[in-house]
Amino acid sequence: MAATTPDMAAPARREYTPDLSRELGRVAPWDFPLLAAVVLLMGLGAVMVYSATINEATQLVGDGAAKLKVHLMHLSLGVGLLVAFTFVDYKKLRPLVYPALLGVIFLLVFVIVAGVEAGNARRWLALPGFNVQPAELAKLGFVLFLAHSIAKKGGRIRQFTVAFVPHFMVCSVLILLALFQPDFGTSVILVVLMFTMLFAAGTRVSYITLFVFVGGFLAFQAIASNDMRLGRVLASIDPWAHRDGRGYHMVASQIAIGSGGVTGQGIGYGGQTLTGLLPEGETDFIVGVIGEQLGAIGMILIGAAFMLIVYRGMRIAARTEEAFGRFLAFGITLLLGLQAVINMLVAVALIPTKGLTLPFVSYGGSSMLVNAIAVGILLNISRSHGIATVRAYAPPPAPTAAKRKKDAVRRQQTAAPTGWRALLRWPLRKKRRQTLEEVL
Amino acid sequence: MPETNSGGLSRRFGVATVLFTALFVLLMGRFFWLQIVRGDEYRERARVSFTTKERLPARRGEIKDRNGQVLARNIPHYALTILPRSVRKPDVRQATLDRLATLLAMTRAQRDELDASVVAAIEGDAAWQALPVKDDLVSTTCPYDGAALELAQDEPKKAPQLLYCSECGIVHEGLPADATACPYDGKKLAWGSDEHHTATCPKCKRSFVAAPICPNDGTLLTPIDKNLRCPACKRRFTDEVAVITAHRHELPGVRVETGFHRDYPNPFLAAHLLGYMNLVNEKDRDAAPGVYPPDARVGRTGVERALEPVLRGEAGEAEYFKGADKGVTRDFRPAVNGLDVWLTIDARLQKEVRQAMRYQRSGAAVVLAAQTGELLATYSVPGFDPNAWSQGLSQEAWDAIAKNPYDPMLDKVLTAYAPGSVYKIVAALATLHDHYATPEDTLNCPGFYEFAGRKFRCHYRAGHGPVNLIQALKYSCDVYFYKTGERIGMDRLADYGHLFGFGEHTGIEVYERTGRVPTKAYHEDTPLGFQPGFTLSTAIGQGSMTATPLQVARAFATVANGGHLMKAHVVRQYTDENGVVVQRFLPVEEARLEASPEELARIREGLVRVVNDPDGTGKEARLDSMVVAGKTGTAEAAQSRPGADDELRQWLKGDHAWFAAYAPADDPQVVVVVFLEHGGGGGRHAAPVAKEILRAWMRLGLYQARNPNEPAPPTTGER
Repeated sequence: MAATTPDMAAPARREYTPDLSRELGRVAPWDFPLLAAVVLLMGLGAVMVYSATINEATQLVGDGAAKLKVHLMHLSLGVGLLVAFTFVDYKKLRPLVYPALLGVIFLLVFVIVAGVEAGNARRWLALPGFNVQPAELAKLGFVLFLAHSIAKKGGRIRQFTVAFVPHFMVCSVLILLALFQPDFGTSVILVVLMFTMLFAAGTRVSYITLFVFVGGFLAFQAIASNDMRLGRVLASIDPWAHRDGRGYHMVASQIAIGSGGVTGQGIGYGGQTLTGLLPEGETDFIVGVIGEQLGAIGMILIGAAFMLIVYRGMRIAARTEEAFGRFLAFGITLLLGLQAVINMLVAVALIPTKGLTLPFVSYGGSSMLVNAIAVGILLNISRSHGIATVRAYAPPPAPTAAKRKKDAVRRQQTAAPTGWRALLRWPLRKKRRQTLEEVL
Repeated sequence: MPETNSGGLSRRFGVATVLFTALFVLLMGRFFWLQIVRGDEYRERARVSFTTKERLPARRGEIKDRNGQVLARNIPHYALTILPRSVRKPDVRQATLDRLATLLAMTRAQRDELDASVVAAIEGDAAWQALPVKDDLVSTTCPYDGAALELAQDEPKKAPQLLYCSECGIVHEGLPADATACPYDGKKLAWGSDEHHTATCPKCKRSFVAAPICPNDGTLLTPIDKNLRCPACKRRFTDEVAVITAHRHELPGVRVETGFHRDYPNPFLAAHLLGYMNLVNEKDRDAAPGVYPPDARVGRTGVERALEPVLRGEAGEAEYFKGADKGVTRDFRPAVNGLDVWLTIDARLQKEVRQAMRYQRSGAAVVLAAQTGELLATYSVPGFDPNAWSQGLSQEAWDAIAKNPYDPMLDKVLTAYAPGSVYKIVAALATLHDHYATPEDTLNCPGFYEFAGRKFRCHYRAGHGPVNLIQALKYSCDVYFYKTGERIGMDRLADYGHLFGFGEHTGIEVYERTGRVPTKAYHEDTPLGFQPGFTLSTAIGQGSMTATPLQVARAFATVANGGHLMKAHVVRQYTDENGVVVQRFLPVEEARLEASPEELARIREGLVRVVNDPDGTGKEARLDSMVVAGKTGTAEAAQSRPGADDELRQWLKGDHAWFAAYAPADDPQVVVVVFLEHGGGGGRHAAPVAKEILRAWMRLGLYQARNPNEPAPPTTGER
């Protein structure tokens, strides 16, 4: 359990102990490991997207970095949003939950009417210079809605009608709209999100079990009624038998990952991915590219990064007192983790093809921006919850004699410049430490 | 917000985290399984799936005559195919086929037919199978006569512009509207008054158009460029391979497949010696695993077969990344080209031999260099067309060969027949060497010899009277050799036969029969058992005795060159494709005849008299320009064959006619053996042919007078 820290054993409403230095040793104002994991994934993603698209882009556009440039644009936009949302108090999002949900539903309807068709699905809305995938927005919107709703209902969530009726209705609407595209992956994510969040909120396990059975039956119907989905499921059971048809992606991905071995073939050296034998290598099957080019080392890196994200996310959720923030953090963590796990399970051919991207890594603007926003919100929650605030008024730890001496020397050396140099230094000037009153 | 069960909720968060951890562990386990446990297997699978191996065929060596004239060569062959899968989108298909039709000057009907077959392949299950579009694209050689094409260099003004109609597929010739003279013969053109403005030349009857509109159907014409010309037939061609290659970006799925056809420029010249090639079979592939792809062709007979390993070279292999533009190579092993084989045959002499044999139904002629054992010419009648065999024989052609009673596929130079009297040189040498008679001793020939209760007749029924050895050779007296043969005995005679190379391989590189030199032991194994009379028959080259024309030629060369039994050979050297000699083959003396020069001189004197005495049996071969020595042979070989018609039965009744000669008698350089199967008398029928060959040999200047100070040069016949 992530939350088995000594303070978690304490009663719910804790008074902050004067032992601040102990808390501070463990908690940074931002959840730095989370941010580090995300940045690592983003950087790795950019490299792998370049590696996966360079050949195709060279052939089609004549510029090997064409897709990389778009990806970097998404990435920088995403980083901007991440930083922005880190500084926007997540509580201010709460009034926006219903407008956001309505907007998402509107977009989902709109995409059915006027979406861009690609492959067999109609998932994109063409905006000038940018394609939006409303299903990505829907996931975050749904998480926001669930967090808000669960927080609002508080203890009543244990009741059957309170727990299920409203959430289930919203979920069904979103899933139906998603299935129209069709987007089976999003539907699965939404259902799992809902049940897990309700479970975490304290809904009785028996209700959830009941729904899982009913939902399982419905899902079976949905799969059996659609040739493509049935084919994908059958193909996932034995991809090698269907390698020329529906199992092709899985076999290609499996071969790509397997052929990476321990150290991989090196960045830019994957035969399977460079020759276009692994389709969608930059989006849904980027794990294949990483597996082939970076080998087991790359896979461990990716897996560890996502595990860290999930762990830090759960930790943030567990440490947040305020219910909306708590469930929002939980939902976002769940959203990121689920997408990652399902994407990777698809790539190693353990479950059928879904059409989900790997968060922060895959090429794809909507997914990148939405996930960046989600992490921004998560960081904001981590920043604003109690322990983070402590740092604002905690006295700094008493410096040792050696440190004092060193500081004195440094102060002398880096004396504040005067004159026009002071203007240059202005952005880096030392801020006055806030007083407790100001913080509160 | 009041939280009453925060601890419980934290527990549930924990459960979620544990579940996630379990999923990650599952993933990591899977990665471990795929990448580390079975990584090698997947690496191999990946290699197979993203690379493609291509065989780089080796160039088959050419076969040349001793002077470098090409007897067998490779003609590049370009086939155009289209992969239906690449043009499965209708608009792409239409655009591609339209382009292709224009580039290859196809008619509308041809184009539509191709379109239909592409559609059929896509709808059927053959989208991945390359569809042949055109079998022989023109690029370097003329499709009519195989001559190398050259760039046509006309004055730009004079040449009419070629205009192609995509509707009717006709290439029209365009002239400016004010042209008055035909560009071909300069005659005044008659311009038509019709709407299409066509002009015709009154002399050459060519018609020209003024506007780029087809006069037949009004289609707009496309200019095309026929810039290649055949120097032999003067036809003009487009370099289709270059055109297709230049436009390959507009032609998805279209591929030019390059191959080589084996071609024999003069197919009937030495068909038996060169042999032919046909499709490889299971046996060949098992015998040489990995050497032949399923569609390979392999030498079947003659030199093509005997020197197959030298000629074929070794195919290389390249491994490419699939999809990438073949520049990216993973592995590359270049092909080792086959070596060119230079034969000892002189194509000019070979042509003359063929000319000399032109009236013969069935037979063989061989010309051997007397001192070295090199074959200068070898020819077997009737011949066959190796080009037809190499390109796949039609049923009619096969039927014609199978029905031909004269066995066209058989190389009669290397097939054993009863040698008749030409074998008498063996008995003659045995007589002298074993002292059964001196050259001056005479034996009486009353026309027959009674032996073991049977009359063995001489071919001259009246009898030659008393004859000595030289006269016996000159008249080809059978009784003389019956009598000496009886004394020599069967086995001793066989020993001498072997000394002359009878019953042995001559050493020639191609497949040959050895013939048979009967011994007592041989006859005792037959149902009839050994009869003493067999010795007499064998002494005159009859009975069970058989020899190939080449063996006879080698035996005469041995007599002519003073007793050196040379290994017969037909391969002079191997060179690589640049003409650098890789291996040269020198004359090999296989054995030395156990005979004194005097003995051989006696026999040679007899052979000279055969031709040059007015009553010699071989007087038909006498030449004024040089002294020829030789021996006739008329072997009784009457046969019957079931189902033979009258003409064939008549032919089968005839004797085998032989004539073996060497010349010049005082400086033997060349041996000629002519064998005519059921061809009649050796002196009457075979000798004139041999004479014609010898005369041609002289005329071609192959005779080189020996410097009297030098001993006999070992390279006689060499130019």
